[in-house]
Amino acid sequence: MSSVRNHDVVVIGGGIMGCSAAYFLARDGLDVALVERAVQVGTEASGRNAGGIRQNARHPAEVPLAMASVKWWEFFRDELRGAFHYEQHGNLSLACTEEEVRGLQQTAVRLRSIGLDVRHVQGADLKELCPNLSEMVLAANYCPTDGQSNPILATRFIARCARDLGATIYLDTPVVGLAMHGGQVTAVETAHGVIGTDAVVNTAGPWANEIAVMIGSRLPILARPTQVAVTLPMPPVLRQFISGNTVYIRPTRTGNLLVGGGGPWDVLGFTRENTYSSIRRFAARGMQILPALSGTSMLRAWAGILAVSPDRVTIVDRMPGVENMVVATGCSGHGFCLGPGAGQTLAEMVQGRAPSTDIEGLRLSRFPPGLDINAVYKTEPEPM
Amino acid sequence: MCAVTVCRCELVTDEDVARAIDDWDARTLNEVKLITRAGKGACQGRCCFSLLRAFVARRLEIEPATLQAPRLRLPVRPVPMALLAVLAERREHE
Repeated sequence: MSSVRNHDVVVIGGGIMGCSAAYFLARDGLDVALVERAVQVGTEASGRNAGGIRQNARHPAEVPLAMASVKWWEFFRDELRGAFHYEQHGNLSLACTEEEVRGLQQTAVRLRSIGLDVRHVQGADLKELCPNLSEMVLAANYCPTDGQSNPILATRFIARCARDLGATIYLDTPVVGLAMHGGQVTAVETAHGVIGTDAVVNTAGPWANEIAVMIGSRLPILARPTQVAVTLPMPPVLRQFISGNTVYIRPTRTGNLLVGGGGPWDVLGFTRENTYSSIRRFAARGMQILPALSGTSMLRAWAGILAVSPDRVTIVDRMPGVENMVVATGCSGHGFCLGPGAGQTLAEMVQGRAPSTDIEGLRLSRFPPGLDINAVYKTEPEPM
Repeated sequence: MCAVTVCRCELVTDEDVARAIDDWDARTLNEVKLITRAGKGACQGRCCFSLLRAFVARRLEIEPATLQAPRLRLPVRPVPMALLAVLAERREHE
C-alpha cells in the first residue's frame, strides 16, 4: 500500500461479516477496501467455528437475519458455485429435561410465527430422524433447511467474490487509528499507511471495541474463548447438526465428528488455549446424548475467541456518536451463519438505505447507555 | 503423470496441494493443512510433514526451511472418547 489511498468505504476485519460486507458493497458499485490484520481472511472465529448454518434455536431477534443469510448461503453455493461444502441436512435442538421440552415447544411456536419451518419432534418421529440419540433425549426442535459448511473455505470464497467485483483486500494490515473530522471518520490509519474514506464498517469481532475506542466510544462486548474437538472418522451415526446437554455434535463429510460447546464460561479474554476440563466434558456430555461416540477417539482440539454481548444476541447497527460508521459484532458464538445477511444489512446502512431485513432487535439501543458488560456478564451456559 | 499421495491418512495428493495454493491462496503449511486436510488424520502430520513441506515449497518456489510447521493440537495422539468421559466423571466426584 502506498502511503495515502482513498476508498469509498473501508471495512475493518476480514472475518465472515467483513468479507460479506465487502462483497455486498462492491456489488452495489462502491470502491471498497477490506483491511485485515492477519495474512489471510478468516483466521479467527470465522475459521475456527464448527461451520453450522442454522436458523434453529436462536433468539427471535436473530431469526430474520439468519433466514436472510440462509438464502444468501444458498445463492453462494448454487448461483456462484461456491465449493465450500454447504450441506442442508437439518439441525436438531435437543431437550433432556421436561423443563427444556416445554421451552422447546414455546420456542417452536414463536419461531413458526416469524415464518421459520421448525418442527417439534418426539418419540418415533425423533427416532426416525436421528436413530442414535440416547434415551436421555426427550424431544427436539428440527429445522430441515439448516446445515453446515466448511467455514474456512466459505470465508475465503466470499472474500474472493468481493475481490472479483473490485474490492481491494489489504492483508497483514492492522488498523492503528481513525481520523475524525466534524463527527465523521475521514481516514483509517493502518500500519502501512492511511486510507481516506467516506464510511467505515467495523467487523473486527471481539476486537470491535478497540476500534470503537479509537473514536472515543465503546461497545458492550467482551472476549471469551470457546473450544471444539474432532474425533477420528467412524461409520455414519449422525446426519444432522445437534445441540443439547451443553454441547453440540456435527458430522463431517469425512466421517469425523466435531464436538464443541460454549464453555468454560468463567475464562475470559483473548486466549486460544484448549483446557483438559473442556475436552473431557465434550466426551462425557457428548456420549450422554450420542452413545456411539464411545466407539471413536478424540483426535484434535482447537479454540477460538468469541465476542459476547450482554444478552448474547448479535449487534448490528449504526455506531452512535459518529455519522458514517456501522458495526456488526457480539455474535456470542453463533455469528458464522449470520455473515451474509449482516454483510448485506451493513452495506445497505452504509448507503443510507433502510435494511431490507428486520434487525430492530439487534440494535445497540436495546442496552442502557454506558452499560458495563463486565458488571452484567454471568458465567453460565448460554441457552442452546 | 499420476498424482502423488502426500498425506496417506487423508489421501491428499500433490494436485490437492497445488489447488490449495493456486485456487485458495494458501501460503503457509498451516493453511495447506486447513484447506486440504493434509496432516489432519490419525498421525496428525507426523508421517507426511516433510513431504508436504517439500511439495508446498516447490509450488511456492521458496526454500522448504522457511515454512513453519503446522500447529500441533491437543491431545497429540488419539485418546478414546470413553476414557476421556471416565476421567470427566472422576473429576466431578473429586
